[in-house]
Amino acid sequence: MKLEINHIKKSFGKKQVLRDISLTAEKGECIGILGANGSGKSTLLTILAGVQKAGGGEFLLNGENLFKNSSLRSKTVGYVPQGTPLIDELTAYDNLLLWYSKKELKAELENGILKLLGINEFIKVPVRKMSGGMKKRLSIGCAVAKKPPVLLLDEPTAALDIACRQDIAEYLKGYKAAGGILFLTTHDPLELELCDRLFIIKEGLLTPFEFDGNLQKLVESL
Amino acid sequence: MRKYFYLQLKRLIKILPPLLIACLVISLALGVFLGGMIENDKNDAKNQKFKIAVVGSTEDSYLNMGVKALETLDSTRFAVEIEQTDEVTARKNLESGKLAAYVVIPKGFAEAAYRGDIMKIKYYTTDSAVGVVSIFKDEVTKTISDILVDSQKGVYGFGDALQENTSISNIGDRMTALSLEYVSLILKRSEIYTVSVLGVSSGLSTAGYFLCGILTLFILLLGIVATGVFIKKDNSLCRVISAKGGNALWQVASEYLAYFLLIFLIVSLVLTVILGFTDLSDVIPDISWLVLADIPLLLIKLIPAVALITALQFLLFEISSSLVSGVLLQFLTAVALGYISGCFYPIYFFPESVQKFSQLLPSGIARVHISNCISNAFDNKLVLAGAVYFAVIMLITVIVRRYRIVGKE
Repeated sequence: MKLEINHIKKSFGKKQVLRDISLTAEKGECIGILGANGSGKSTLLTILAGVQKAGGGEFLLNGENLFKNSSLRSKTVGYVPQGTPLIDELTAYDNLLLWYSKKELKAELENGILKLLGINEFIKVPVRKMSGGMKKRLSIGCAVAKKPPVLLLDEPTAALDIACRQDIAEYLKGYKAAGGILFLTTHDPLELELCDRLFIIKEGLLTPFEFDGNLQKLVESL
Repeated sequence: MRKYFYLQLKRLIKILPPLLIACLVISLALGVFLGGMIENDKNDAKNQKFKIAVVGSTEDSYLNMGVKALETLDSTRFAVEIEQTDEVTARKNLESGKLAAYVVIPKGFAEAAYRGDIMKIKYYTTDSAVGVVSIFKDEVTKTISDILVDSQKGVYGFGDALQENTSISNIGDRMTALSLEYVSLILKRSEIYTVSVLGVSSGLSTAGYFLCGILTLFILLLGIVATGVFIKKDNSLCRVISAKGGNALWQVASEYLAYFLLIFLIVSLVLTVILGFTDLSDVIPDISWLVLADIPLLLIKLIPAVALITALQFLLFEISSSLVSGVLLQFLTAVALGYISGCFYPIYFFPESVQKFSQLLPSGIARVHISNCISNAFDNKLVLAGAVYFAVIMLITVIVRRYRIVGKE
């Protein structure tokens, strides 16, 4: 499986947020995207997810342009945004029903992804009563319905405690090991360790970055 | 994405009990308000009856009959209310403002009339400022005097003529009947006042108008109770749904439909209780045609009004960013639109320009439509105007939702 992002552009009015974004990713790879606030990281992910349109460029999965095939894109790309993409008044079970059929849900809770994420422990809990970690795990559980080969995560462990971050990092490792491609935007050193390759978005351009553990160097690069 | 709609419904069902409690509070408050408005209107009507006391001897049957006729045959709104009392009480009541005037029929008036002599009836009124009302009071009181005198002259004279010149039996009974008819005709032909029913909308009575106004206001205020549920503090779910093919139009349609069904259910419950299980037809005669079996059809006819108001409320949810601002926006909009659309006062109280402006507002259209439904009229043009308004409001809502999806946090 090969993923290609070619010359993606995006402008908001006169401001060009993404000028020329290109990269490739292979099966089992995790791509980390870093950048200062407002640099365009989230914009890139929303474009790849299909939330908004690019001003130009291609998004190819095994040669198929996902920008022109929204049906294929919605099946092959999972998206976990910042925030809580859940309905507060409903339980975890009800929220998952938006993305899974009852049969699929039962199977995944018993012995699948949702069990791996530990969602069966709080399946009947209303979202408004969940902790941040539970909500994030549930959000990931919703995004990986239909088992998409590509998963986009926008700061997945932001505002979570270390234990939760560890749990989610473990799950993502498992996802990678199973052959999925991960794109994540991050500021978290734990997540940086997860990434096989890192890129920095700066002034609308994507630049590879080698992280050797030196945070100071990272900050200066941003 | 049908699932999204079902989940919205499920979500609303979960929070239905507290919503119903909030609606009950609003219903009770508005019910008291409506009752007060109707009572106030009735009192105004009562106060417009000029109370005049008749003092003195009315032992004579004809005189007594004349006074009684005035008391019981008056079927007009702006009428004279007559009471018989003694002069001390009448004076006291006049001074305290309970009477507009009193007339004193002197002793021997009837006997003098039999002889063909007319004794003057004195009337007493307050020395108030000379205004239209005072003049009117004087005119009415004067008319009463004249009616009493003239009617008695006619009755006595005619009765005497019949007795002297005919052998008709039961002249007394026939004279009574004739006199009652005579007095009735005089009252009906009075030039002192004309009576017209207030021109409320759709031919409704004032009470019926108030009912429709309060119902419109009730639906407007229901937006407040649902604010906490529909305000979006986080756009991430909208984005994820959009990524999976559920565009802004679909999202708005699913959420709006669930909201509309909720509000329609609440309105249906309230109206069924009020119209089906309470007897308000004495107070609000316009609903006297309604029986329990008519209510489902009435509710269906109300759908355009409910849809229009709920569309506006949904747009306000969409543009609000926090619970406090959302509640304030719903409340202030409800009160402002309710006021200008004639929910608090009959619309004809306002200047012509405001009345015309009110007809252009969604709440104004809704109120008139509700009035048409209660009075069993139906205006297709109005429904069409409402439909256009609805479409425009929903279009704006979709645009705002689209902005939320693609815009920055």
